Formats: sequence, structure tokens, C-alpha cells
Amino acid sequence: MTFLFFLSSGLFLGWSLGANDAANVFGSAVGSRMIRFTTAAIICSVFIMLGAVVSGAGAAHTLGKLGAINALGGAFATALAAAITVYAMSYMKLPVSTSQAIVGAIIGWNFFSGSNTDFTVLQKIVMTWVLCPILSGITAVLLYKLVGWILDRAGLHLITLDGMVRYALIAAGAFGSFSLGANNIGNVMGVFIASSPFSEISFGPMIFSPVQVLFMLGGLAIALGVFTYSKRVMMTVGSGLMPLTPVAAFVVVIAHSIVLFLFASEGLEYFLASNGMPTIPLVPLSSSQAVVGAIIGIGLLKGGHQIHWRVVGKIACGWATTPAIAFALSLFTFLLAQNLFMVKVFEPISYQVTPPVIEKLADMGVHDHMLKGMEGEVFSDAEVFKDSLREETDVEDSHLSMVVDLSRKFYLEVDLDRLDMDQLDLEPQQLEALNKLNGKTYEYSWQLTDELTKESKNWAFREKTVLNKPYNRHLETQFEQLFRAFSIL
Amino acid sequence: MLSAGKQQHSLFGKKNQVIQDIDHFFDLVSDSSDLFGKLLKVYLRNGKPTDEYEVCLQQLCELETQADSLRRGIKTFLYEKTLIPDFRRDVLRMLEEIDDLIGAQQALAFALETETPYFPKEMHEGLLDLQSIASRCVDHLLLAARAFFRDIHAVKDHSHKVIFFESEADLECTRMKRMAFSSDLELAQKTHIRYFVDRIDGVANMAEDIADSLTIYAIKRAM
Repeated sequence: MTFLFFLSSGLFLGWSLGANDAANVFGSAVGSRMIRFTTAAIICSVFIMLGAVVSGAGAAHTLGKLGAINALGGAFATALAAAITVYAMSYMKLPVSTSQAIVGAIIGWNFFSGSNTDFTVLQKIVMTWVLCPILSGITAVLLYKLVGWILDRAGLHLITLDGMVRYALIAAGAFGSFSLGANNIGNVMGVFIASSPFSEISFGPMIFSPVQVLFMLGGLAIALGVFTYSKRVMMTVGSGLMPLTPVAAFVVVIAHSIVLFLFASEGLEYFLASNGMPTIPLVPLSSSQAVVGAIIGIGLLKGGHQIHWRVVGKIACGWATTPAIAFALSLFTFLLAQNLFMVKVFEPISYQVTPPVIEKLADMGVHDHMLKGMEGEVFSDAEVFKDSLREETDVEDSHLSMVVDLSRKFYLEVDLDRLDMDQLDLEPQQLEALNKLNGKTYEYSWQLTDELTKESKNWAFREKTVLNKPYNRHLETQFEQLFRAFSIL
Repeated sequence: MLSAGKQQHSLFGKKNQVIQDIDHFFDLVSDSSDLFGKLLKVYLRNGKPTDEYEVCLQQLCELETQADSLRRGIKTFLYEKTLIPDFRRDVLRMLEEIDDLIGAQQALAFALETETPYFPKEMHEGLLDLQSIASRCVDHLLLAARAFFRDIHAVKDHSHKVIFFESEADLECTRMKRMAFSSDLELAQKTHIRYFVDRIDGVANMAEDIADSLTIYAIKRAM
């Protein structure tokens, strides 16, 4: 029952995501009246569900940052704050980035719980606002010119062209919906994987794992959002920003997909690297911002007279305020949950410099004898700890976050009985290494990482290269699962 | 006709059918213009409606019915399948206005039959020239209309031709009226001739108005 209560905020976030993000894949098609809203909603829902269940990225992406939230109540309040923010933006018919709402709420949690915030995330968000629309706009302009050139030579009948564009919009929308489901289900349901009470379900020859059942539920919530509330944002994207012709609508969808594929696809990066080709630098991109950028790009190509700049201004304000609103709202939801509903929103975090930390830092090239003077002092707030480090030691600013992270107390006890082997997917050598450490306790999470790395090369991170990225990420997820299972907070 | 299209099962098949129907509709309009030319020749040769005239008139009425039915079928199909949402209204208005061209020529043929106007022999050649120019206006309009569907950039060129021939028709019309009013005919006959000359010239004027609209539709489509 408690689980279902907590799950409700995840489902609400799913609903909000469906209400807002469906516009990125079908907005231009519905807004240009090429596809009926009902048709778009049905296709979108079906493919979102398929994407979520068949290729749900699980705890990946933004959720990696959510993983830091160490209490289910905190996850509930974080998701709730993000969901309310996205809902409010959808109400105002503005396309926004759901991930940014979640990041804003997570920073709120960090602030509330006194955890360390990685400010590069914030830098990335600001970079997205600038880079994404520009890249997308340029791509849309080039593509629009190319499509125009081809159509001029093809001499297609208006009705033939109409039919082709219609089918192309449906195909692009279906593909986009599949990706939407696959990439975002982790944001919606990821935090609940560990505590999911669902069991395996089979429909004839198909067997759904408990995680897939959970993702199906999340997918359903997204689909419901698409059906009940996505038309508002769709109309802004499709006709509110500027009237779109069917061909322009198609170019917008394709330009947005190309930009996301070229500049945000780790799969492409891996493919290029594995074939000895130069890789394209990955930049943080948002689907909503890519779509808006593509529309404005085409509008500017046509002279800019048709663009409704007031709507553009509103959308830009929405982008800038989304993380801020989510941040503020999350503080409010944490306060409410903690003080009114007596729900634990975070497990207390403490930071302490001890000899093992000083030794570890020395190994990593941070030598500061002043750190010894801080031994024994316990801090419960990362920012206060950082201030003390600045005052009492000579640690460079660039190393502060590293010192804070390594000093974070994380009591662990290796107990193999607490592991869900199906979820962990361990190699025999990894299991053997874990067995050797069974029963041991640790003060810091990095101590377990170091010991396991010593025990087996299967627990060791590889050199940071594009080709090693998937391996290292998989290992990172395994470590996170270990920490969660062995935590004795 | 679109009724044939109804036998097609796939949407692709039906779309091809509607494309054929649109082309066929333009063929009918072009035929109606030629038929009216023939009808006028028959009338001038005999000075009154004859059996041959009645046969031509009958054919013109059939063309008109067929074109009407095609236009309605196209309209229903475009709305039912929500095709070309952005240009549907423009396309349907264009088809309706072009259909009116057949109606105008049919009405003129009926007026000739019922009012049997007297045209002096020296005016016959001029009248046939005027009709021929009006007919060329219609032909170029149809080329512009076909281009609207397949080659948007050519619409302007064909529309320009329509405007050119419409001016030629105006000149011919004025020349004919001047000829009528400087003759020794009764005032009633002169007025009657002017009425028919204006109505033949009216076809060219209608074609010009449609060409103007078509140019705007083409600009909208290119945007």
C-alpha cells in the first residue's frame, strides 16, 4: 500500500511527461492538421508503451542523478515536484524539458538534504538552451532546402505528396514515440525498481519481468497523459509558434530526430568509434528544445514574419523557469512530506575526513597536510563542509568536490543474501570476488569499490574511452545496486 | 469519376483515382470551351438553332453534369479523408470557380437558343475570334490549374498568359461593340449584340479572376 502511494507520484510524472513530450513527436503533424489528434494519440500511446516495455533504459540517464536520493519518500516528493512543474507548463501550453524539471527537483533534494551538488549539471542545462535550438534550427534549414530541391524536381502531384508526407509523419512519430517511451521510462519508474512488489506476468508466449510490469504501468501513465492532455502543447508546437505546411511539419520532426541522433546518441558515438571513425562530440540536448529550434529555423528561413515571437518568448521563459520552479516546488514538497505527513525524505548524510580518506586523496594526487587538522570533525551539510575546507585547508577549488565525495560516509555491510541476483547480472568472477568480502563492513562506498577492484579485474573500471563507455556504465549501475543492497544506514 | 474510385480499396488507390478525377475534370472544362466554339460556329452558319446546334447543346449539358458530379466527388473525398488540409479550401474554391466557366458557356448557349440574336455577316469572324481568344484564356487557366498540383513555379507563367489573352479579348470585344453601334442596325439589335459580346468576353474575365486567385494560392503553397 505504501509502495502504491509512493508510486502515484511517479505515475503523475508519467502522465505529465505524456502530456508535454508527445508534442515533440506529433505536435507538428497534428498542428498542421495532417493527422487527427485521436490517430496521433493512439499511435503515440502504443509506441510509447512498446518502447517502455521492450527497450526501457531502466535506471539510466537522469535517473543516475536521482539515484543519489536515499529515501523512497524523497523520491516521491522529487517526482511530485517535477510532475507539478511539467503539468503547470503543459497547462500554459508550453513545451518544456521534463528532464530539466527532474534535475531542478533533484538539486532541491541535494539542497534540502545537504548533499553535494555537481554544478556541471547546471552548466549543461544552460548550454542546452543555447546549443540545442541552434543546432536544430541549422539542421532544419538545411533539410528544408534539400527537401524543397528534391520536391521541385520530383514533380509530385499535391495529393500524392500529401499522402507521402502523411505516412512519413506517422512513421517518424511512431519511431519518436518508441524512443520517448524507451528513454524516459527510467525517469518515471526508475526509482521504484528496487522496491517493486510486482511478480512475473505471462501473456501466452510473452513473459513480462517485474521491471517490465512496472514499466508497463509507467507507459500506461504516459499514454494516459498523451490522450487526456497533450493536445494543448501539440497545438503550440504545431501552429502556435508559426503556421506549418505539411512538408515543414515533416522537416521539423526529422530535423529534431537527426539532431538528437547525431549529437546525443551514444549508440552512434560507439558505432563510429568501433569502426575507427572520428566521433561527433556529444552535447546535452532536449527533445522539446530541438523541436522549437527547428520550427524557428524554418520560420527565419522564410523571413521570420510568420513566427509568433510572443509565443517564442513565453517558451523561452518556460525553459528558464522550469528547473527553478521544480527546485522551489521540491523544497515545498519535502517540507510538507517531512513535517506534515511525517515521511522520511532523506537519510541523514555525514561527511568526515579520516585517515583512509587522506590516504585515498594522496593516491589521487591531492596532498594537503592541513586536512589532518580536520580529522574527527563531522559535517552534515556539503556546503558547510566545503566552506570549512576552504578556510582550514589549502585544497584547490577544483578538488573540493572530490574531497567532499570521498568523505561522504556510507556504511556498508557485504551480505550476499540481500542481493537480487536476477537484477544484478553478475559474472562468475564478480560473484567470487563478492563472496570473499562477505561479512565485511565499510565506512565509505569507495572502499568497497577499491577492494572489489583489487579482488577481480571484472570489477575494475576500464580506461575512459568511447568504446569503454557502455562497459563502465554497466559497472557503475552494478556498484549502485550493491551500495543500495548493502547499505546499513 | 470518383464513383469509380469507390471501388478502389486502398487509400493509395483512392488517391490515384482522385488525381485522375481532377485531371478529367480539367479535360471536361477544356472540352466545354471547344464545344461552345463549335456551337457558336453552327449558330452563325445557320443564323438560328438547328438540330446540329441542339446536339451540341445536349453534349455541353452532359459535360456540365459530368463535371459537376466529378467536382462533388472530389470535394467529398478530400473532406472525408482530410486530405491537403492546408490547401483544401483553395483547391475546392478553384474547382468550383473553374466549374462556373462551363456554366457560363452553357448559359450563353441557352441564351442563343432562346433569344436567337441577329449577328450581321461582317461580324461573324470577329465573334469567332473573340470566342477563340476567350477559349485560349480558359486553356491557359487550365494549364495554370494543373501546374498548381504538380509544378508550382509554372503557375505564374500560365496565369500571365491568361491575363494577356484577357486583354486581347477586351480589345476584340470593344472592336465588336464599336462595329455594332456604328452599323445601321436597330438600337434593340445593337443592344442585343452588345449583350452577347459582353457575355463571351465575360468568360475571359472569369478566367482572369480565377488566374489571379490561383497565383495567390500558389504563393501560399510555396510558403
